[in-house]
Amino acid sequence: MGIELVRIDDRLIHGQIVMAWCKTMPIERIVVIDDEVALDFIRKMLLETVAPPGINVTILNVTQGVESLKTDIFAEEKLLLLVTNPTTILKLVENGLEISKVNIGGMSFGQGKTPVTKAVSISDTDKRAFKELHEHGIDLQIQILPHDTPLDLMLEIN
Amino acid sequence: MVGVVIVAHGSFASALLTTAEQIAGKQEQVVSLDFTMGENTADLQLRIREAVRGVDTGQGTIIFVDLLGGSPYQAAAIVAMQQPGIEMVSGVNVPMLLEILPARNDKLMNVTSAALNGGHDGIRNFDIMK
Repeated sequence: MGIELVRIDDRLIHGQIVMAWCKTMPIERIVVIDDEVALDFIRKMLLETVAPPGINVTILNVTQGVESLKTDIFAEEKLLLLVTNPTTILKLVENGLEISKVNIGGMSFGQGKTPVTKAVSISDTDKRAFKELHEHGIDLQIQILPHDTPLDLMLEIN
Repeated sequence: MVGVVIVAHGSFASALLTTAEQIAGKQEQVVSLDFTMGENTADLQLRIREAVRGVDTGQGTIIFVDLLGGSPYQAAAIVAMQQPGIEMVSGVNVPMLLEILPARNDKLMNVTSAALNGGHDGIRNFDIMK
């Protein structure tokens, strides 16, 4: 299976994904894994309609995500794995998904969140999940757009 | 009069309104919302809903957004799906706004199609021989 990019972005498929990432990487399918979105009919429909032309979209809950990444149903495709938070990635990793790098694109500010950069704010839960991902040896890079210089998240949150 | 809400990435929405008003004159029942990096889309949805409430006098509202598929588009789409009397148009540009800002005492449907036509008509390849 070719996972080209694993990205945390709570806006999921939006301008930066469509206009920047999908144009600089050979993405064939965007797989969104999120329990809330998987249940939200309107958001699901919207995400399916706003994907770049020629790129397929699959929206799964975490359980479905674990199952489909274990099997080979996307084996022939280059994937962009898109989630809203690091806890989802941790669940995937704990269930056997092998990745070496996570791109952190956008985690919006809100109550109970601490700003790390302009575009990335994290909660205590996020922080714990990031630390565990780091212990799994996974690189955690803040990088909004393809031409931005990646920033090591772990150096920013300690 | 049909209300207008402009929502876009960066400071495009407010700049666009300033630009349009420089030509069409000061406008009523028009609001611009700038979507900046780090803002929550749920908050943006709330701001759009409030803006619509502020400009709508019962004749409907058009929400203009910059980019098809972008966050302003998605937030506006959700608001437009949840309440009647809202149209949403993406790809907003200056000619589109100039076409409709002075002519909003019409049905929502007519103002929307005028906006689409005005927006398209403003995009041309300059060719002196034609």
